[in-house]
Amino acid sequence: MSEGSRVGEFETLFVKYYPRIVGILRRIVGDHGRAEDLASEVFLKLYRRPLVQEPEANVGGWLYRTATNLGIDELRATARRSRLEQTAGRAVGQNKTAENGFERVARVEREHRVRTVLAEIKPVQAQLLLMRASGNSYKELAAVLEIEAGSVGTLLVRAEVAFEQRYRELFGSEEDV
Amino acid sequence: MNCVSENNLRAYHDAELGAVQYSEIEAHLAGCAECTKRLSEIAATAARVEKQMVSLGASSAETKIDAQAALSRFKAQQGARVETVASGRDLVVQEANVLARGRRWRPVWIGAVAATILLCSLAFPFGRGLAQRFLGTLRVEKVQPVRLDFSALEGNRPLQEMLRQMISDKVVVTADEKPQPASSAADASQLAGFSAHVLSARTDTPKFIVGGQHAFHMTIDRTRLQDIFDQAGRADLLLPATLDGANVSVNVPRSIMVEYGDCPEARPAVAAQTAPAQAHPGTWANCLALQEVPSPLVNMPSDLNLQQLAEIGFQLAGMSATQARSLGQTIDWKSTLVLPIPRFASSYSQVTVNGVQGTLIEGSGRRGPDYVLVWVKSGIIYGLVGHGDSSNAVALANTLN
Repeated sequence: MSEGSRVGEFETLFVKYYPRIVGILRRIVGDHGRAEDLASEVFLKLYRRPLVQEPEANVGGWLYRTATNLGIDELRATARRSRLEQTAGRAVGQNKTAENGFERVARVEREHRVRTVLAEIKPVQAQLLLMRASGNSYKELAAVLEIEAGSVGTLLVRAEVAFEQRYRELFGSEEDV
Repeated sequence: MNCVSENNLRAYHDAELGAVQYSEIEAHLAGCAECTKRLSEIAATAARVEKQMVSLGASSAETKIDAQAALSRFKAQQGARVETVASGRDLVVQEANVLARGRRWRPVWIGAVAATILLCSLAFPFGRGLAQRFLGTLRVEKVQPVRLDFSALEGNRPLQEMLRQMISDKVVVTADEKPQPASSAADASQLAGFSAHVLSARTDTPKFIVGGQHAFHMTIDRTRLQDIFDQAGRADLLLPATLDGANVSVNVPRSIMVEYGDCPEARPAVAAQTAPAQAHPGTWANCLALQEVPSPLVNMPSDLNLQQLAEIGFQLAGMSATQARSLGQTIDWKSTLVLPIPRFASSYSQVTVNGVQGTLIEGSGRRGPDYVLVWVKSGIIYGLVGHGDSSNAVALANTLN
């Protein structure tokens, strides 16, 4: 592949996948600017990766996998620094919606708790839940996360149980969970 | 039909089964209370968790994402990154520049190495035996230019002061020799312990000065360092708790400076580092200074994550975490000394010199253009500093023998 066509292919992939990659990263880290930073990092990795006539589906899967890995790493690092709440607060502060103060506080708290739990369970389980919540089919989950298609259901059940269990341990039993 | 597996119950709930399998399970569920109950539990858990996960998406679906604009930014960043990586031989260049122009180079060199080592020593693994702590030896095989904007750091006086104080408290100097003149290349070689090289293109007799050996070691006090970062407003730079008590030793061997022609007088290294020299009535166009420094040796734990430390260092110098990570990934930290390029350098280029890659940095001081050419070969870091036209710098350097 010539350098020119490689660059062209990269740009096509970038334009096609960038919004989705930012979307899932934003869901994970809760901050649009940070999500775009991380997305750049994902594409930088792709840029440096030899693209030897790979089927596009594989590249797409690789992008999702890399993005969720980075996002969850970020989440865990942030959680370790005990700064998750600040991050969530900042993200919400930038988010101009019509919701009232009480609703906003409630939502910030809910998002904070979800991200805290995601940072604490096994990364692959967090990845699975995030990818599923983004609307990926079992087949896509299997391809992206490189797991057996026949075990996606079981892994989802386990991830959900782990999520709920950790949630209860951290925040007690609530109606929501 | 036997009871339905957990996997298939979940897939049934998500309608992720083929039509036949779906019908079979549906039929089974009609007559199996146990599976129906299990399905109900699975569905309830899934719904609750889904509700939580969806809440993450609710606040994030509003900002429009412009992929084309992002691609333009990405390309611009990559251009800048490539330029950055191509640019520099920083510390060495800066040091060579300072070295060649003035002889009071030691504090800068030591300070730079100390700072590098300090940063490089921030992530020592915890709980390893002392025997394992000195297994990693760094030796410079190449230098990497990086254009860093130190204004954020320079403007952070409290941080500078606290770091300086900590270094003076913690660093134990074990060798601090003064420079001494040598009468000939042979004399300089004997004093320095390695062969002095001269430029055969210059027929005039050079002066030789042998720079002294410098060595120090220090024990990292991670808590104090983190306190310093916190107090200086950089609590975002989190030092691993595991590096406390780690030992680092640095040995900078003797160096040789070969000076041809009428060269500027020595002046304080700090001034040389931060600004071009003042105007001078004379011309130093025939001044050429060649600095030869064997790689400093740095001993530290072999499994320490230099990239992680370097990223902290880059962030300290004002880079964003993402920029620091991107740059950190491009450098082989075991053999590369990353040095900040002088701010007054106006341009630079990659050149081949003596069969290896070098960097030619050109500056435009008030006294006119000058340049420094830096390369590393066979464990020796070379810096050739000249004044005036740089077009023959490589040709001159190629006459090294």
